[in-house]
Amino acid sequence: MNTKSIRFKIIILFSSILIIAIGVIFSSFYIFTNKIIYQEVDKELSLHSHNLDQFGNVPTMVTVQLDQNGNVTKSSVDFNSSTMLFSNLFKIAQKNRSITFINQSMGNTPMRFLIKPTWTDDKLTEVLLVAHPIEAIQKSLNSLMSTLAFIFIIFILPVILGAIVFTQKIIKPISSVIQNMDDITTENLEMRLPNPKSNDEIEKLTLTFNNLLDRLHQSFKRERQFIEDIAHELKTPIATLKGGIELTLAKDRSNTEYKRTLKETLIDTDRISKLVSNLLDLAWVGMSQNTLNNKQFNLSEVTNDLAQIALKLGLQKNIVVNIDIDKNIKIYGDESKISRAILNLIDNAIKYTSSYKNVLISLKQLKRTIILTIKDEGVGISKSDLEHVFERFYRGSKTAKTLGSGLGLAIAEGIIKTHSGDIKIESKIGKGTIVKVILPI
Amino acid sequence: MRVLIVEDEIRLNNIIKKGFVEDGFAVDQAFDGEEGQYLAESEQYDLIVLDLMLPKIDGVTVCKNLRKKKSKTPIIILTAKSTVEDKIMGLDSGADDYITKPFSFNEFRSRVHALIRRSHQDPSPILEVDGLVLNPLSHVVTRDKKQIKLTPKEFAILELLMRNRGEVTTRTNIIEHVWDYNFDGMSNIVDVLVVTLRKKINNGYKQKLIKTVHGVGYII
Repeated sequence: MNTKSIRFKIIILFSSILIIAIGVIFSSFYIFTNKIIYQEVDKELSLHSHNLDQFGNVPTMVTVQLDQNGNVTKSSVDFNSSTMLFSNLFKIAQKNRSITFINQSMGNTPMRFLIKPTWTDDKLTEVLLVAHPIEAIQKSLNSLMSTLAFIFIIFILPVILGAIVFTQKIIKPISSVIQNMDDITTENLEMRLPNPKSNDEIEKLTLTFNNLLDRLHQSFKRERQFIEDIAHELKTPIATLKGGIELTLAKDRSNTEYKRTLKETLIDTDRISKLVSNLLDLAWVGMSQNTLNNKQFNLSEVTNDLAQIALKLGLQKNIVVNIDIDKNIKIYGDESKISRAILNLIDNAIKYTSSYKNVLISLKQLKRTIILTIKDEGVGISKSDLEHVFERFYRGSKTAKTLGSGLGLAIAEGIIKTHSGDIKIESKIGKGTIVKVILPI
Repeated sequence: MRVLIVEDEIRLNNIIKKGFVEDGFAVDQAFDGEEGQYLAESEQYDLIVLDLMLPKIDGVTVCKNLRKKKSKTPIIILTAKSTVEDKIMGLDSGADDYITKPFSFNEFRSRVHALIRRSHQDPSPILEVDGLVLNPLSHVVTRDKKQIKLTPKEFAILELLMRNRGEVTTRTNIIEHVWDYNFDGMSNIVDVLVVTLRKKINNGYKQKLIKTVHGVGYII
């Protein structure tokens, strides 16, 4: 078993706590019993010592009197054999002025002695020793101790087994969670852990993990979809490119035909390279916080330049472009990126507006914020499309797939957001669209 | 042979058309599902090339609608969708073949010819009648191993007659399969072409091929 595992730790902790607890209970039980029994004996000894006349004839009781020098003056037993013993007890009496109880063997018999010294004028005049045999008591206590020890040892194994079973039970849901987690890979991210409905931390863990999986799954799906979209966007121009080249190579052709094919391939390569540069812009938006080229620049000039481009683009389609730009508005940020974002928005406005309609480009400063408004009288965006316009590769249902790559708004939004700005779109089908970009100074 | 290309990417559509025209096919183009379905229902095609992601009506629906109306024209799906699920959905909607972009034009061409062959129940890619051999892929016609030079239209008429050998092919049938939607020429253009075709293939041979069935059409 892994000694670092929580299971092992719980087993060790649990069984040692139980074993120590049982040990403490058993030993205090023993100590307590021991104390109570001796207290009883001592009580009896004191009683007898006070009434020697009355209890003098109690069998097996020993009474000895010693004088101030420790010599036996009176004894109920033959004392020759016990002189050493008495002198020891006498020494204790000399040290302790009060009554003392002590266990002392006399011959082979364990006895409980009461030592009662009598002091007169700070001088030891007499010592009384009263003793009871305590063989039976000691034997009982010993057998109590061995019984307790025996029970204690018998207890250890079940305690450890119990700890293992108990731990298993606690750990089991965790183990099953681990096992289930192991089964989840990037291939089956839609799998979820079964809810144990146990109303405990495990359930919480399961739910938290499932939530994490949900988020992961979503972003995985988004990424996969994004890659599929990129692949799809690339496939059509590549198919056109490849088909055109193969067809041209199938037989000998005139110079003009070769030239035409080359021109066609240029259109496709342009399309592919535009898509790639859009993707790079998107990637920049994704990780721009640290690479933002933060310099002050004149937004009015930038917007004006772009509005002039819009004017020319509009001219080709007979669209009237109105320009209303406040002068000398300066902001901090990445000029080329901001200009890219605005260009995307203007491009959309021109693209979706039909001939003889108007487009308005206005830039205003309101205290500490700048509002750039691009208003067109184009086809408009339906409510259901409006929620998705900032999604990568999203194209409205009406716009088919002929126009653009579907990345323009996503890029614009990303750029504006990294400049702590905001972008809002209002639109009515058939009436037109208003795009508002709000930027802080 | 007459084919319909339903593909919303105008330039790709044009390239495919060019390839077919060089093969002597009559080609019609549609740029959305609705137009494609209309043409497929109202004209006689030997093959339809169908994109899946189309404006108005998507390719799978077009395919299903055509099959519902008992159209037997072979349909080849040409799409950027390349997952197994997409292929299954496309073929299960009634298409005969599925090819993904970007594709090899030569493979595409071979698949097209295979489909046409299958729909006419020709076992061999090369058509042969009494020593007259026509190879649709290489565009070579020989009689007794001598090569005969034909114009694309003559070639197309001969191919049609040979695919229907033993059966009468009507003039309308020839017009429908050899000319595209924009044709509104005189009906005797078929007769004129058959005359020159006959001259080219029978010149110097005793056995005269292509017989006229009066008032109906031609048979080989």
